[in-house]
Amino acid sequence: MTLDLTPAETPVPAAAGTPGRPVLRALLRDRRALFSGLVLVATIVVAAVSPLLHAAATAVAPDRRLRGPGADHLLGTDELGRDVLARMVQGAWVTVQTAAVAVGLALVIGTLIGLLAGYAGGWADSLLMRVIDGLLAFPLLVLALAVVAALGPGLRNALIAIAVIVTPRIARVVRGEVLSLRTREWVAAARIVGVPRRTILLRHLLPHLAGSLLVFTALQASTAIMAEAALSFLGLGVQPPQPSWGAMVSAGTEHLDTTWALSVFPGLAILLVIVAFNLLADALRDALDAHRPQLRATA
Amino acid sequence: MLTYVIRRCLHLIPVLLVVSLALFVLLRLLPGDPSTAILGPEATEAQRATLRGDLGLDQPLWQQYVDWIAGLVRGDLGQSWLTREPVGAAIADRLPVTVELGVTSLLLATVIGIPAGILAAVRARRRTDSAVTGIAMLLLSVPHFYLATLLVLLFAVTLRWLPASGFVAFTEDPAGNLRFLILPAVTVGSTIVAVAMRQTRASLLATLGEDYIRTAEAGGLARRRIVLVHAMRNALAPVTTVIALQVGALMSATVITETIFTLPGMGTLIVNAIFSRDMPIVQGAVLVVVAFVLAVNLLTDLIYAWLDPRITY
Repeated sequence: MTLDLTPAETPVPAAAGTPGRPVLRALLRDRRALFSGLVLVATIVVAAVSPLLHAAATAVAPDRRLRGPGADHLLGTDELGRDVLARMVQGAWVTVQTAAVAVGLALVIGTLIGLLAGYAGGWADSLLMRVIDGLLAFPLLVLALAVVAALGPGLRNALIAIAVIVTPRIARVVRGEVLSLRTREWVAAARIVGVPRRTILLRHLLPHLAGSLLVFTALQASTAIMAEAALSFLGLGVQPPQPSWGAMVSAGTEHLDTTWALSVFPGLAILLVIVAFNLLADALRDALDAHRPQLRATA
Repeated sequence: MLTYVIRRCLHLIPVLLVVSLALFVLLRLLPGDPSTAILGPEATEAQRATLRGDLGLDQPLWQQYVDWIAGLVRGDLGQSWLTREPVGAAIADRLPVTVELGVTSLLLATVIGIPAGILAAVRARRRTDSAVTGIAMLLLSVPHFYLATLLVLLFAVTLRWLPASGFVAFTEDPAGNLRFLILPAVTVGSTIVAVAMRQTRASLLATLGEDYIRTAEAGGLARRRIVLVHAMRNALAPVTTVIALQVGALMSATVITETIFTLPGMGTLIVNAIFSRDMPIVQGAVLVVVAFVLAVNLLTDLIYAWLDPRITY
């Protein structure tokens, strides 16, 4: 091996780009991954078509209130006579937003904080980590409640609250990975030949932690959806008349003795999506473990 | 060891400072004048000014924070904006219920989770194992409020075996107390059961692969004895730690579960205070919960360090 290193030829080991294909193949063979893929794609599709059912979800009809599942209304009607299935379809949109917006926001901010803290070290790292430790000391739902208490109820504020609880978790994981990666020789080599710090962080380090970050994000997505549902259940998230699965379960608890379907089906939808994210995380972890990029990195 | 204990305790101070500052700043972000929220829209400006003076809200923010922290150090958590009740007293009323719920759920989770985990490990990769692993996945995924709803639907509404909500103190009616506590404890315990199952299974499987177990097997010891005595003794330490570290998750579960079953604990205190915008209560109660979680985590680490002779500090 020659050591004639110019910045362009810095031997950055093959990272996330290369193992993508075998990992994808492994996922396609994994029943857990197929199941969760199916559930998640279905949820997104349902959320996308939800505007079509808006009329059915909002049509109040006192003469057909609290019906059980039947031919006219597949999953029955609620206390105002609105179709439960149509409302669940509307609720899917909230869940998709939680996963995409709140977790997406946390992923971007958390990754940046983690990269900076882990790579910079020193007082910046200490300061950021004290703040993160402080935030992580809050039980998850308690922190979400405190944020919503400050900002007021509503979907936007619930999404902010969820981003606040997920961000420090992601930052912590990214920092840990960066700490172990930055001592590698290829990082030192890149630094010595004058690769800018931003390039090292974003082009060299980030692809290497993409795998574990993906697994962790899937787990955090299930946490986020659970937290949104809990806030909406408590009446602090999505506000009526806009439907969300958590709020629907809550409204249904008033009528458990007559119309159990009101609570049971929306709750089942929440459970299904959370299971999907958890199984996806498990399957991803197994697939990535089997195709570690580091193996070919030293070649 | 003593220096380690002291160092760990000192480490808590910046964390608690961050926590208290975060809480304080967060809850003062509130739009609008708290005195309007307390007195209602009809109050005159003079009445509001008097109230702001009484509550110290006319002071600059940093002064309010310093006053709050100074009060905390003296053990004074302030007073409720609405009832003028000392926050400390409100918390002292509610804490026992939350602790009772937490301890009952932990016991339940340990009694069910650890044996189930052992079963799964002994029958690894067989049907019992996949059943236990699958149940654990479901329990980890089910939101507490949904599980609570299902339990109420089955045991309170349909079978009428247990009450759907309410509470009596253990000192007043021990049997009644237990009846009110069963469904909430199962709800809160569900996550910990799952964690205990998974951790016991993983930890026992790892231990069963060790040399000294093979030696014991070669020596002709009964399988039962090898698993329950020889392997479990070593496998149990990480299980205990992982269960103890669930106390944060336990508090999250407690908050929402108490609200559903209307148990008069810390969770209902916090949620009701949020709805009535009684910030000193939210601030104080959340701080106590966080301090409690930190204390348990610290204690877990210390006990682990003390139990495991391989760890030196």
